[in-house]
Parts: sequence; C-alpha cells; structure tokens
Amino acid sequence: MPRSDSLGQFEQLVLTAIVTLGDNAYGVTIQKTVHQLASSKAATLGAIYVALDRLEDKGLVSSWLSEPTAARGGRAKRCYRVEAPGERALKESLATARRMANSVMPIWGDPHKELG
Amino acid sequence: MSTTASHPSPPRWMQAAVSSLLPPAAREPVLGDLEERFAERGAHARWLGYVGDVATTLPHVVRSQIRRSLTCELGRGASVSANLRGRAEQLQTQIWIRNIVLLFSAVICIGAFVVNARGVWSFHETVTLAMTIGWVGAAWQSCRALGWSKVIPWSLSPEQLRAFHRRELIRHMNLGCRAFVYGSVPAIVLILYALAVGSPSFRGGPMLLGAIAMQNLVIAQTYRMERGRYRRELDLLDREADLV
Repeated sequence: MPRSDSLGQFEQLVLTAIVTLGDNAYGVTIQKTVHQLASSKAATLGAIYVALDRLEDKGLVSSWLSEPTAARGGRAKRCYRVEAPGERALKESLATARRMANSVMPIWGDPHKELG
Repeated sequence: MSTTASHPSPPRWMQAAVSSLLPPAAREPVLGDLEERFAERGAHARWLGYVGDVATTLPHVVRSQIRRSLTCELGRGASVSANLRGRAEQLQTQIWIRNIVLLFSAVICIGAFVVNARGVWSFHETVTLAMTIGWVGAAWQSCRALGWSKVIPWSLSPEQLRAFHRRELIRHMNLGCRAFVYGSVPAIVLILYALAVGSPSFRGGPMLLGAIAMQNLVIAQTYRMERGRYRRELDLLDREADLV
C-alpha cells in the first residue's frame, strides 16, 4: 500500500535522477546522476540502494530486471521507473522548492550566484 | 584479477565471498553494479575502489533487505511486496537472514567459550560450552535441514516461479522432529568429546544436555510458527492459481 509521506531531499534527488535517465536508470547510473545533481554531497551506491528500496516500498517507483549483459559478468540490471504517485510527489516537491525560492530571492538574491 | 577481452572483472573467489554476504534478492543487480564500477576504474584504483564499494554498499543493502523482510509478512495479500516474485524473494531473504544470524552467533559463542575457558574449569565454562555446542548444532541443523537461500532466476515464467515458490515453501514446511533429532547428533558427540578429553572430572553433563534440549525446543517452536506462515502463503498461492 503506497504511503503519502513527503519526500526527503535525497529521495527527491534519486527520483529526479530516475526521471532524467529514462529507461537507463539503474544503480550505477542513478548514483552518477545523483552525484552530479548534489555537487556538494557524495552519494554511495549503498545509500542509493536504500533510497530505491524505500521509494519502491512507498509505491513511488517500480523495478524490473533487464536482460543479462556481458559487461556485467552476465548479470542483469535492476532498472527503475517512476510511477504516477512518485511523479506527483516530485512535482509537489518542485513546486514547494520554487515557492521557497521565490520568497527568499527578493531578500537574499539569487543563491546560484552566491554558491558559484 | 580475471580479465576478458573487453573488460576486467574482480576475481571469482572475491565475487563468491561478496555474493555469500548479499541477500539473495539483491545479489544479482548489486554484484553486477559493483563489477561495472570495477571495470570503469583505472587499473591502479580497481582493487581499492572495489573493496571500498563493497564496504560501503554491503551494510546498507543488508540493512535494507532485513527491514523489508521484517515488514513483509508472507501469506498476507496486503504485504509490502504483494507480487509473487517479491514474496518468493522475501522467503529466500528470510532463509538467508536466519542462516547468517545462526552462523555469526555460533562464531560468537565459540569466541566467548575460548575467551572464557582459561584457567580452572568452573560453572561459567560449562554454560559457555553448552551455549557453544547448542548454537553450533543449531547452525548445522538450519543449514543442513533447511538449506541455503537460492537466487530466483529471472528467466522463470509466472507458472515456473509459482512452482518454484511452492516447492520452497513445502520444503520448509516438511521439516519434522526427525531433522531436529538428527541435527542434535553432532552436538551430542561434541559433548561426549568435551567430557572425555576436555575435563575428565567434569560433572555438568545433565545440565549441558538440558541446555541443548532447551535450545532445540526453542528452535522447534520457532519453526512451528514459521510453518503457520508458510501454510498461509501456500493457501494464498492456491487461491491465486485458481484465479489464473
């Protein structure tokens, strides 16, 4: 039964990575994308697996095993896709982040410039 | 390091060691991801990187799988993993967890006994010896009678998967008292050996046997409860098969 928990920041990053990767979203590629998105934080493969399991338990993503490939020693990849509740949750998080940015930017200015 | 023409891969013994520490549900994709990362690195950083990846990945994967296994109850349609494959994987994960816990606890008991059994033989040595022998026997019983966890091939069709899951459930349900009696034989032999060689003046035999019997009773009771869960899961499988 999917739960309607709000997303943590790491979960948002993982969901964003899955959306951007499309059909090629599996452990290694998700970890690389999350690493690029969260430039200041290192994400280990283990942390990615935990987040993916949690998102799957919440019903926000689903997974399937792909065909085995020689490049992985004949092992399959566990690929992920974002389900409708996950898409909704991510959109809500993005809207909240946008509202926060709009409120703060008149006071602090553009945070992108400050952080380089 | 074994290397194919196109990409390098970690040695087989290392992969086998990592594989045995991974829960069956996560084994194939995690090993594949680790191997992919191994191949991506430069030759000088492969080994260190692989060991680092294993060290940072294993505890997370094991913790996550244990959490999923504990929150999923077989035989309940509304479980976390309600699909057939998820339930079959959860059963294998539960078997893996039980074997790993028993093996680790046996090692800890042996260690405690070795540390404790210095100097004069006394009551504490008797207790730790009983615990050690009992747990080694329990680990042996579990691994021998119930077997190791299995990775479920992805190529199985739904019907084959249902048959596989059914076979596994029945295998675990058919464990009877006889297996416990047979399982106790090596423990009893070890007791006799310890009595004869370890301490000729030892007088705690009945207590040792009592401790072993108590541990076997606890394990038997646990398995009986598990059998109830497996029965419910088998009923659910039958209902699903009828619907199909």
